[in-house]
Amino acid sequence: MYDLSDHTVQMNAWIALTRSDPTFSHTLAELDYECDIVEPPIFISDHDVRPDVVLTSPPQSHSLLVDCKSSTVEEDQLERYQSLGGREDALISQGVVSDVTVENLNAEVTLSSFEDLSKRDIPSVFALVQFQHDPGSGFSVWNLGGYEFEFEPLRDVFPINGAPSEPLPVSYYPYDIYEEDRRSFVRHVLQSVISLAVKEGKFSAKAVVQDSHRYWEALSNQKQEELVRRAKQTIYELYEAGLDDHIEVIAGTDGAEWKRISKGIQAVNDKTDYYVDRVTEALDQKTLGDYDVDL
Amino acid sequence: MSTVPFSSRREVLDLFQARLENTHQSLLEDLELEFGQNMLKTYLIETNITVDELLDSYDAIDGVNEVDADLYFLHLVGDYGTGGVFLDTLDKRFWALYSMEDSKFTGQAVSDMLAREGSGLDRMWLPGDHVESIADMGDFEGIGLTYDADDVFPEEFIQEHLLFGDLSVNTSGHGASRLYSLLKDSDDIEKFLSLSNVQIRREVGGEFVRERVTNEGAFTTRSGSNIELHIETVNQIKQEYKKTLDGIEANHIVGSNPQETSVRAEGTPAVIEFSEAVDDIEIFLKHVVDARDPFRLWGHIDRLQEGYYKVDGVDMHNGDKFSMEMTNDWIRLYLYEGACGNTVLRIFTNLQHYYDPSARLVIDDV
Repeated sequence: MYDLSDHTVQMNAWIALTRSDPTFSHTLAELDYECDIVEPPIFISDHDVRPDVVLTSPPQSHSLLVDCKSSTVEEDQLERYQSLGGREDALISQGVVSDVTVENLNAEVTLSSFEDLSKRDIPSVFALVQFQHDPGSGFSVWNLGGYEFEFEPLRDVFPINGAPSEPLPVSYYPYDIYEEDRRSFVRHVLQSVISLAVKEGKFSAKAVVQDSHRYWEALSNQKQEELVRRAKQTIYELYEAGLDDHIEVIAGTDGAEWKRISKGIQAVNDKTDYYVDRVTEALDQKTLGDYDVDL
Repeated sequence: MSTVPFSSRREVLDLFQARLENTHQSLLEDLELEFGQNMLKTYLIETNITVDELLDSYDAIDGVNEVDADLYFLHLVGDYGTGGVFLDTLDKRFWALYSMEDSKFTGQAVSDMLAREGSGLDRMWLPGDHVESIADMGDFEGIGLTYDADDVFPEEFIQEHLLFGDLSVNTSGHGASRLYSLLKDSDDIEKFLSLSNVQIRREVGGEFVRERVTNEGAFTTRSGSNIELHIETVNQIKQEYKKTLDGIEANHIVGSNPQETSVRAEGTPAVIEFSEAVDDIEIFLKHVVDARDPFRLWGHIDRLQEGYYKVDGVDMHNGDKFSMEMTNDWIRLYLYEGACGNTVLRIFTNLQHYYDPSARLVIDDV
């Protein structure tokens, strides 16, 4: 959907629900939830858990640890999440939740998906959320029967129904590491290359990929390294596709540093679609060693 | 820096004052400057650079006289001619450029200075309702309405989707107010009234100025008795604009705020609501996001679903990234960290001027 992975669409959905945007449901913003994208694991006793986002409403003293799933759920992961019961203090002591006192904090774990996870063997202690998307009837969010939120004010706002004229925002969280995000990755790398070429004149592949992701700091080191590698490859492909009229690699930098060589970069406009289509297609067919540029 | 013909801000203001009173010629003869009978023009310039960066980057600056720490006399030599302007950098976000050269030279000099790719400079982009509110600052003396869809959209698009390709009305004198009211009362025309300038006579404490103010932040002082009243009129309009700009930058820059162990989502897109549905979104976007004037937005257009499109692009004025999500009824406009809020106002004001004068900008206050 939207040429994005289900994971990236879900990340956008959770962020969007906490923002006060007049063109989309702001149901969770009305309950004062803030959306934090979490990178480091949270340790609870002998376990670690890694939610994708934590939604916290300080006035309601409630936190929601959200794990965005595809169609599969690992049993081991469920066991680890269950260790959170009665240990909300860990969220505060490890800096995941702030502005709420230990005594008052109430936290729940929810698994979200475009699939109906209630068909899986999941303990009812988890709240299950299903996103549904229909161009005709709009975007909707369901709290599945038998897996309702314990926190009543939250339980009461479901289902969240967006009108067909309120399509899901997808410009908060641009991409992740998943294959289905490749086209979005290329689009955002090209966008940052043009932006940095106009603003700075010189730029590195790392600066490009950092600039292209709003939540770069929340990505794991492993993801960051992989994305830098892919950005380098993408810039080479853009260069070969025709961007060589505008940028060139700085000699001796092994392809890590680039500079703008054209006075005006507006001409890129005529070939934008071609660049994105060609590079998206080419990316999985080459390795870095295949590029014939001055390294 | 070369010889300074003025040694203080007061002397410059005295020159402007003399111009208002039409007694400036004797002053100019003393200074060996030739400004002729041109009216005083003031341009507000939104800046994200320092004056040193301007002096280093704009080749047409042939000489600089430092009047005081914030006021400069710039001698310009460009394709548009040769002349001198005063640049007041007292406000680090909005400079004021004063000129007593002719309007053609001044207009072209300002355009040239701002149009350079990544110049870091921009105009003020006053939305229609803001221009209209300026009329309340004094006695209404005239208006200009300019709608130029044919500068952006091809004939076949205009015929299919719009009532006019262009519409231009300039009127002054005692009937101006009446004509504007009549036009606003016409159902067919009302939606196409794009207010491009307003003329007022402002009187405070027995002093007066007569100003023509455009939606691009250009002031022509047609006459007056007190230069300080002109300066204050400019400042008042600037302060109102700044409030809008501050609201955009406080609430509508989409980004992330680092917390102890996470990053927090912040900001929402600004929303532009159209007065009537845009039928063909893809064609519309192709003409708006084509890297050319007046919008100068480059971007990649993607169809997300029927009636829902996305653009990831760059504002070629300043290199800032933006994204748009568009349906038939509205645009969500995303600016990202480090971006200049003026981009929202430029896009919105240009959409009013070239497509839908009745479009509405939905933003939160500071």
